[in-house]
Amino acid sequence: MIAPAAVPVLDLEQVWVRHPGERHLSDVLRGVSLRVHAGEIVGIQGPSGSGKSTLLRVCATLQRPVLGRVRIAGREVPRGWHRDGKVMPINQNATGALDPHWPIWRTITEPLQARHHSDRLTQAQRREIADEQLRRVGLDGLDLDARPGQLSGGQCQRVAILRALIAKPRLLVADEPTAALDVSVAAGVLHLLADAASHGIAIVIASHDRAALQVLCTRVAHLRDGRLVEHAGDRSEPLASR
Amino acid sequence: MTAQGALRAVTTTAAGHIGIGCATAVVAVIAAGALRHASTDTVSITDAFRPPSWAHPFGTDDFGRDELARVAAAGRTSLSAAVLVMAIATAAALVLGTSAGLIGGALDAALMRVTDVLLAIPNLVLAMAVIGALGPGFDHLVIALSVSYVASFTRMTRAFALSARHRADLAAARLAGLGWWRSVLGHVARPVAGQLTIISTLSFGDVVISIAALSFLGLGVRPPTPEWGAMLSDSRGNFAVAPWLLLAPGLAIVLTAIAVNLIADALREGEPA
Amino acid sequence: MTTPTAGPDGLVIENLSVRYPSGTHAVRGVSLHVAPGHTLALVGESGCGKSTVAMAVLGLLPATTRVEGTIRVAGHEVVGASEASLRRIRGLHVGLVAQDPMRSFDPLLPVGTSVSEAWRVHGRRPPRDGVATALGALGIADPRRRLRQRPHQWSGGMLQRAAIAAAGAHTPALTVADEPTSALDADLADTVLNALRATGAGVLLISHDLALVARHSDEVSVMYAGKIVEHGQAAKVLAAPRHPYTAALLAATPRPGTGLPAPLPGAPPNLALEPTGCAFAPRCPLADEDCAENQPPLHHDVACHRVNGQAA
Repeated sequence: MIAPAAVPVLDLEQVWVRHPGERHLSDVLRGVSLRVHAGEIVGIQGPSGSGKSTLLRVCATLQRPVLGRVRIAGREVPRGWHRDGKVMPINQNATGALDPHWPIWRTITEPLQARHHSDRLTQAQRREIADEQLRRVGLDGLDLDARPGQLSGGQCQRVAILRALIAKPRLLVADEPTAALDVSVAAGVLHLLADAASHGIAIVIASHDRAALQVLCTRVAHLRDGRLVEHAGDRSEPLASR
Repeated sequence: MTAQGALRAVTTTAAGHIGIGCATAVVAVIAAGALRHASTDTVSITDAFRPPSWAHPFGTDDFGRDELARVAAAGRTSLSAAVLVMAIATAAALVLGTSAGLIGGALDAALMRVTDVLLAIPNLVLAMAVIGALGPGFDHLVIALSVSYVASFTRMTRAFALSARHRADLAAARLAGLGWWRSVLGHVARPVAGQLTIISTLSFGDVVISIAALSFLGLGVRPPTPEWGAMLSDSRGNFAVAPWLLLAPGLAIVLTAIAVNLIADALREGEPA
Repeated sequence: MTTPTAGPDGLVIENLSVRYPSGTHAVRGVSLHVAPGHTLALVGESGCGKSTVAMAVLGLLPATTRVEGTIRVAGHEVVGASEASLRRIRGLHVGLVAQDPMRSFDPLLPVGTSVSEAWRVHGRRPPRDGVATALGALGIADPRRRLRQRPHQWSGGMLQRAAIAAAGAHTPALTVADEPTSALDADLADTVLNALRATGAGVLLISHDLALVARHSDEVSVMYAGKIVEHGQAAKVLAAPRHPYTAALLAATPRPGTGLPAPLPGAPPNLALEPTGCAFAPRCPLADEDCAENQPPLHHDVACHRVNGQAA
């Protein structure tokens, strides 16, 4: 499934990140390199404070490294790279990641309002799309006009994932997506992510749930002292090579 | 908060009831004055200093002009000036404060230093300085008062925008490809505008009183435009002869300020935490 | 399950029922026993009622809730007790370690001051260097210097151990730990739970993390929709579950080498309505008409018609 010669969706090259105002002894990321191809799921583990969230922010192009290069689908960030839904985030606190004033139909279809989508959709069309998406994840009973505050953590996380997927991303960056969820709901989220990967989306996921990473990921990497060390996950292709 | 929420807040609380009561009284006066045929400028020396009667419910002033008509016309002046000041301050603060909070950097620093200076000077003093430079008159009055309110509203808007800067829904919108202004307008501007509405309603009473104060000092609108504060000033000397000339505009100022403050209080109580 | 009479026992709960003013019947007849020195884990998903049980044990439910049944902590009755009696029970006979350590400490006070409050609240003073010694015993390095720091300078795992030290100030017979490691990184969970069990008190551990429970409890009670559906030795229940819900929970827990975990279909029931029949029936792969009509009693520590044969 992975074509070794293909351009990686995410390419971090010797990335360094420093806490502002501190000496080089407290570099958060030191020369981190990471390549993720289409359909791969890479897990990031590490003790608290190891810089997992920082690494994920860099992957999501929300933070610029002090040194090193970040490339998304071959294009270097920020030069020559446009924000157009290629990279989408999934957060730990799903309820906080959704606009508290917006009904979920609006949140789910928000990425469709971006400039690079030529068709302007009416509200009715957006509601229909949202309805269809909710059915896909087993939330068809949910009120389209519900606000995040009226939903459970698991429902919010699934809405957030729908919003991310509707942008047709090449890369999903998930920071502790199952942390606050019940084990059954978390299992559902893992299935959603695996399904996304099977459609060619690359995924970077940070989690402190080692077992979850092991069963979901093709590769798992440890972040320790700002450096990344990799090993294989349960879903690695036996002959994968980069 | 939503429009229904606002309506509910105002109609169900005690503060809201009293506020609406006072507001109704003021509006009634202004309407009555507008409907009357008596002009504010009909001078009739023989009718000067008449006490309240059927023909002149608020009496007549030193020039024989109908006091009710004058109070009503003055009300239109004061209130329209106050509305303009709030509108300008709110619009400017929304743009400046949101930009400063979300963009940060040099823009934010420059804006904060400017507002620091402006806020160090009391509203009225600042307004007097501006009017001293520009001269009295309705337009200059509005500009002068807007300046200090823009400064304080901008600081508040900036604070709201700062707290919204790192929100995950904003990041998701940006990553999805939505333009900067569009994402901001959708996610940040709405709650910010809501807070601004409450703040500007709370300040409205202040503005009305400031307008009256400036006009009282002769720095506001120019005669013959009637204004409550100016009318108070004019009637001071005649208090022994015609006390109703002080009561009418004075009560109007007080009732307006009470009405606005109580309604703003009711809205604030109704605002979800 | 036999319910021993009051004595120097840790915790005895008999037939506890809790109804919130909104009508939600959150706990429907729960009985359990925690002996001193033992750890009983109460597991289940959100909304099953386990946190409500924890709050009931401490007498921390709002005054408007209807609580029926018996809760005895070291022989002291909690249900219906006055606020004054509850204050004497809390801290002295039962300690609480809550979920988010950051919220358990006043951010303006040094950690040492907050911990010693556990003594001062009962009119006693901590023994000399008592707080520092207790923290050192729990693995905090350089405790004397650390005590003067404020909570934000401590990590979550360290703060939680300080909370454990405070909860154990008066060596209570019971410690209630409500999801003590959910807000922490997984690598700290074992450290914190070892610290908890080292106190020697009975521990009522509320958790949704089955792997953690397997490593750190003696017994486990599985709750669903306000009732206990299975109970037994932790190792046995989690290796060979008898109730279909327990089995489903285990199947939904990721385990390396077994592929993706299987989520449960449907959602937990609305506890504002009394279920007809077994609350789990709509989601249970083994359910039949009998399950849909009759609530299964807890028999041989399992509440399931299919496991126990037909209901009497």
